[in-house]
Amino acid sequence: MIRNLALLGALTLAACSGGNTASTSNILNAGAELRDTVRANRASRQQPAVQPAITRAGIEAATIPALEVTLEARDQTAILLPSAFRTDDGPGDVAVWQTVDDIHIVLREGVLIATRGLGRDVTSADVLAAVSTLKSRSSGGGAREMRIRNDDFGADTLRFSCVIEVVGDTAVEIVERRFPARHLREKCSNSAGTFVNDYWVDPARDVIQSRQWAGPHLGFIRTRVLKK
Amino acid sequence: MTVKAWMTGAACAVLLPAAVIAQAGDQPGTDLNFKPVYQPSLGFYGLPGLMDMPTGEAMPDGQAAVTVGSFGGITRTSLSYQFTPRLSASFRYVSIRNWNSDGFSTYRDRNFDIRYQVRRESLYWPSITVGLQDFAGTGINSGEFIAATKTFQRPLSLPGTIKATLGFGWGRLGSSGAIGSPLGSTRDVFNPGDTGGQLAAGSWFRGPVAPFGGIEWQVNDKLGLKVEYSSDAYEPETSRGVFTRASRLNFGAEYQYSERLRLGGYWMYGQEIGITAQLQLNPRRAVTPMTIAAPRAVVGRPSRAVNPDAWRTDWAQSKTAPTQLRDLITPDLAEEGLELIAFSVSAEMAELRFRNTRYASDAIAIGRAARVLARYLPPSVETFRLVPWRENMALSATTLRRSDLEALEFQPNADQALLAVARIGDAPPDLPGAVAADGLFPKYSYAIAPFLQPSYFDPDNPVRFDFGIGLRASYKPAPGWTFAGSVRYRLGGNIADSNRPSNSVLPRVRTDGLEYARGSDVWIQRLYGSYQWKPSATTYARVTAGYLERMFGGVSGELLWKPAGSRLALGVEANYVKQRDFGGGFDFQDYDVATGHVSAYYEFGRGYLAQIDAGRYLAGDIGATFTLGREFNNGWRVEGFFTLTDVSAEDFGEGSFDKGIRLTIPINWFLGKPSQQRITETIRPIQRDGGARLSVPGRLYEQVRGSHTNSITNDWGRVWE
Repeated sequence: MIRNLALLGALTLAACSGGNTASTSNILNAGAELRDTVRANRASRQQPAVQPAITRAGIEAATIPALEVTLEARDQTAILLPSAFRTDDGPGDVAVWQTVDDIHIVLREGVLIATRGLGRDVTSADVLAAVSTLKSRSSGGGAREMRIRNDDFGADTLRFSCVIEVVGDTAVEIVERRFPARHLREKCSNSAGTFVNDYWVDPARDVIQSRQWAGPHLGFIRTRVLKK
Repeated sequence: MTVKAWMTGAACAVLLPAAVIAQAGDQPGTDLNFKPVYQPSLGFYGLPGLMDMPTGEAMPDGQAAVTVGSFGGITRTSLSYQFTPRLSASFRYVSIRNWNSDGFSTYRDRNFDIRYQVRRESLYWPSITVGLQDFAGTGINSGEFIAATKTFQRPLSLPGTIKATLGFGWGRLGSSGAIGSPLGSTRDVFNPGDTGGQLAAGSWFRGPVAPFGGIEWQVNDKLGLKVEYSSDAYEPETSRGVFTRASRLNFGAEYQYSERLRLGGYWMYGQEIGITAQLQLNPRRAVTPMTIAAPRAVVGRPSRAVNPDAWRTDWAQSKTAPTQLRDLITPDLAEEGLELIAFSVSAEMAELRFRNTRYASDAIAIGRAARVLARYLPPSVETFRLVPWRENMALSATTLRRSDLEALEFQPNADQALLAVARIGDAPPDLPGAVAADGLFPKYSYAIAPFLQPSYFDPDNPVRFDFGIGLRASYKPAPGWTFAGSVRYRLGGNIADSNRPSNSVLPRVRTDGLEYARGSDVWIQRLYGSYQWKPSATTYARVTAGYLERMFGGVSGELLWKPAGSRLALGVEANYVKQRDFGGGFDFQDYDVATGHVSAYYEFGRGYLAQIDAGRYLAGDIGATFTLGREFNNGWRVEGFFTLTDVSAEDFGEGSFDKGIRLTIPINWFLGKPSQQRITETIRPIQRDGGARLSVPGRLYEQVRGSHTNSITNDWGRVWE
């Protein structure tokens, strides 16, 4: 039987499909996708994410805005470029930031409202209270609602009540340069747990650095504005 | 033609499908409430339990479990499913070595169990479960119980959790240490030669009742210790010398290897070593979370006040405008795995008919198609109608306003907000005045792939299989037309080695599987032509002719009524088929039959589905099949079915009537990448000739349902993905 199974394995190695339309083979597609996944995983293991070398001179020379984003849980950092800026009925401006491999981070006045392309993403968020409190650079708070994509083709709603407090005025160093900023801390909790977001807001009332929770799966995301 | 030639431009898989399992690495984690999902440990019977004794607990809703447990030559393999938060069911295959009586050296049997949790655990109350064990078989494991379990956190300052269980059992579970027969004493006895399959309701909770109990101490996240007092005397086994029961106490230690896998070692009945492996899967927790490259955000239109020129509508007068716009959107749709079928546009409205070739969910396809339209269509086009299309059938029409797309994309609760202003309804069969895609037809495809064909529960060898290589090809000359076939070549296997030829007294429409397996090493599995179309906005039709399945060929026609928004669907199918030759060529045998069914399908909501098919089966018997299933939005599905016909239990043979379970798992649940592929496996305790239905390729209901209102709405959370 072992020999038979080995033969079956060898057959799968040789499996092929073609035509001018998508194949409908279970095993073929699964095999090919699995192969791609394994290769991608292997590649990512062999080549740990190279931290992009950023210099102040490089930033000054840049002509478009840039945002550095770090996924703490995956220990990955990337520089994102703007894909769209938007105003809608909500408060403030919405900025869609994207990586070269089509991962999107969406911020409303610096507060995370969506991620796309990461898996178990934040599909949407109600961060009205946080946005207005950060804009005022003072203490405040209110309700927060986040919808997190689940594995059943839907999203689950998490509701929190949050308090934002001023930690103090400080300076944030971003690539060889210090920026004055006010550190605000948002504590959110519900019956199941608590998380803490940190924001650094500059005198122009822009969030220039943050560490924000993006759901149980993604964990914390750090952002730094490299270029406004 | 050389091998090399036809491999050109073809996708070649290089890995074993078995590796899918190896890849299925478990990741410990938290649920959305920050806590690990609680799941009870399972017993030797594959349901929440100590070792042999059940507990009052239930698995998490929707959980599926595969358990193998073995001690003293008794091996039980169970497939269990938590069908509702309180109701669970289990199918079990039992083998008992050293039986050496009744004509069996190893006794093998199948059981069905059902359990209902009467009460969930609360501050003072324990969880309480009532269960029927092996309620429809020959009765080897027949027993009923009521069990209560209470959880104590950090009891007596000990670490971890202690769960104490106390219960009362009847039947097998009341065979040792009985305290009386409160509900009557008559009870059917186990008969190894019985055909089984009959409900023994008159025996339930009858005869002696015995208490049982036990304690499980979950010391930490990994280690669990168990002790139980068993009320099972193991009379059939000990009397036949299978093992010696020297004690009524059992002890065990279990190790939670990963979130999904738990392994146990036991000291059973003072004499035997036991082991279990418990695999618990939850459809709501994918092996790999789905990750899809982000779509481009909706491109907003310029303000009408600022740029009134952009909003002019005279472009719509141009005869070439629809063609030009079609050529603009086609490549972007293709990038999203969507194939443009037909497109019509006027100054205010556009309708896109497309084939979704990539995503299991049409909601995500609709969301991406809408964004492609928003990217290219002139600002005056305000209304988008998006129509998923498959095999010449426009399945439903989702109408979205472009200004809603622009306004809601980043709003809180964006998906539900968009759903509130979307309209999903029926799509007419044709789209007058549309431009079609160029060069869509003819389509052809082929695949060469190995096949594995299992055959379960032969008393001499529970799992047999044949394997080999198959060639499949299809040709679609025009919308709705399909000519397809597959040829298989067997390289090896052991189905033909069985020495249990059919003993059926009915026309041997299914039990001649052995003859087919022996018939030839190369055979035509299927070879047929079919045409599908939509006679009206709410009906679907199909005709198919040819070699429909391995055992039958002929003609088949089907008509289905299913409005997009309806929970109810009605269908009728008529077939005239002839039994195919064992050799698998073009020849037929003498047996022919007119078979067909009237079907009613109903979606209860929350994923519960029911189906009744009434009509004439392959052996000429008349009756109905009842199917009840539960489907998750991601495509996981578990169904149970049974068929009752005018064939008597005696004529039917072992099992008394046809029944089984069907499990469907989407491949994307393992891989985390978009895919429409699913693995489906039907397991019958035994395949006989009564209640056997023709297996026609391309039945309509499953082609249609996934693109209708209920499915699209269920998946709507992904519309912005």
